[in-house]
Amino acid sequence: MTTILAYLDPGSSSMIVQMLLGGVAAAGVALKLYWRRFLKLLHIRKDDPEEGLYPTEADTGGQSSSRVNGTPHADAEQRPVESGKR
Amino acid sequence: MADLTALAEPGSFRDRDSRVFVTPSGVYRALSARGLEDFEALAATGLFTRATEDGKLVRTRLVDQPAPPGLLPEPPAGVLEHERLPFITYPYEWTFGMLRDAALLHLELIDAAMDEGLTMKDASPYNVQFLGARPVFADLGSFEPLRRDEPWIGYRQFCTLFLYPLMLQAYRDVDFQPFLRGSLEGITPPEAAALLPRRGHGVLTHVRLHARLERRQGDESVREVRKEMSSAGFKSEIVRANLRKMHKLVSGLDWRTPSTAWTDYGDNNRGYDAEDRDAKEAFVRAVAARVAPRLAWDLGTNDGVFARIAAEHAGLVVASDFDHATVEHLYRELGREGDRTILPLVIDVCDPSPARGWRNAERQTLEERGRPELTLSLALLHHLSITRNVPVRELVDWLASLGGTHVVEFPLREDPMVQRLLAAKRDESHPDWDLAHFEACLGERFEVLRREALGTRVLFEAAVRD
Repeated sequence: MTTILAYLDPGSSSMIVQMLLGGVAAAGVALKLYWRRFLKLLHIRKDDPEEGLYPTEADTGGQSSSRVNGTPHADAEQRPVESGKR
Repeated sequence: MADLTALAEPGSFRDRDSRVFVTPSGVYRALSARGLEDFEALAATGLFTRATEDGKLVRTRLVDQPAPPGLLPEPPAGVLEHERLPFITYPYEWTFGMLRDAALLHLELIDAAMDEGLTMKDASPYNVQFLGARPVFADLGSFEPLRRDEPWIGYRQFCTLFLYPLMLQAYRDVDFQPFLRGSLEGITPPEAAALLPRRGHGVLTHVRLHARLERRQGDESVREVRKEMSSAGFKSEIVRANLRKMHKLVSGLDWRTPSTAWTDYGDNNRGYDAEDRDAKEAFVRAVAARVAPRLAWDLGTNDGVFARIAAEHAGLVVASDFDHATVEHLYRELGREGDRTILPLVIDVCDPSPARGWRNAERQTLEERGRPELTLSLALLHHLSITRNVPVRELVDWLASLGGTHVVEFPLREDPMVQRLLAAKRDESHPDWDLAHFEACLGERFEVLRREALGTRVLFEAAVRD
């Protein structure tokens, strides 16, 4: 996937809504995503690290990268990359 | 930096790749290297040519124009010149129909852009302006290359600033303008969930589900979710499907305008017999022809009869009224006619659009956006003075502050409408609603060029003294 973030914060939940509303094609994506989350919950599957973008669990002292951020509206991780969108 | 403050369009600071600046010679947009690349990609498409010709995109060309320093983090790589729009407006001044047409234009453009391998980086109604009663997309900096695994970035913004306000009006018959004026970010999903009925079409999904997920997943990283979605196979076809469904949903939203005291006001309360009405129209027509204003305001326009007369000789008439339903009727009529000379707006002159946003400069007051050369205040002042309690002297001072030429109507105390308004007050006094007092105030600030008594009303043509 691309590693670019837009200047507008799309909101994580708003992205999920799109996936849930996107019809048959989106249903497959949603099923896959939630299945993977379920597996992660059972510790059967690990996060897919993305090169150079996300700190690994080792980097953050065991803290998941998804918990580095604050709320979608005060996402400290996203803002600094505005000037390096692509 | 003084030049930057003077030139930079104060509402255009969010995108680091694009910033509008205004000089006496025109309206320009400074672009970063990436912004220029994005514009060149857009300009090479059939969409750009077609939408510009159809009046859906503001006319734009690349020019060899220096940009003031400091507009962007890096020196601009290019400068665009935009067609100058005669009067900037904001969504909290629009009617339901205007907001819906702006929403549909946005959806049509993003859908067409995706055919060309492009998308839009936001979904703000502030990117749309009106040329008369026709919406035009003004933010060409919004277009950027499409990435196949990316969701609709502007979806949440579309909901908060377009969809939820439209639903509020269509499903609840609650005016959306105070909500948009109260928050430049619009109505959030949890707020919309609390305000909207469960049964409305699209509410369960775009509102309630959206709100529930937002409450639950508030701390989830956008980047992480995006990575998961991409990895699970999310692709732009899903965005297209959502855009088309959204277009259908928005097209189906309808506001049945209520019958208000003002929707039939023009037919029932002209205050004139036919002969005097003809004389009033001739009076307004003569002043408009003599002034030939670039910009005119018709305050309290009601059904727009006099805005239409002024528009015969004006570049643009901003036709405003505080009654939403009345302005909506006018917008629908003008829209059917394809009018580009009359811009209908919902404005309460006793509570006009304030300066809003970042440093109170992002969204401007009406006067800051352009003062009229001709102002019509017909069948208006008695409502402001008697019903809204604005002293006559203050009314005259305010009109004088607008500058230019004015046509002002003063109904005498014996006028049936004045009698009705006074009867609603406990003491029926309002001693300053008096022709002699009004003329004294007018004479202090204006040069009265013409005065004509018509029945129980007196018309004045007056120019503000320098």
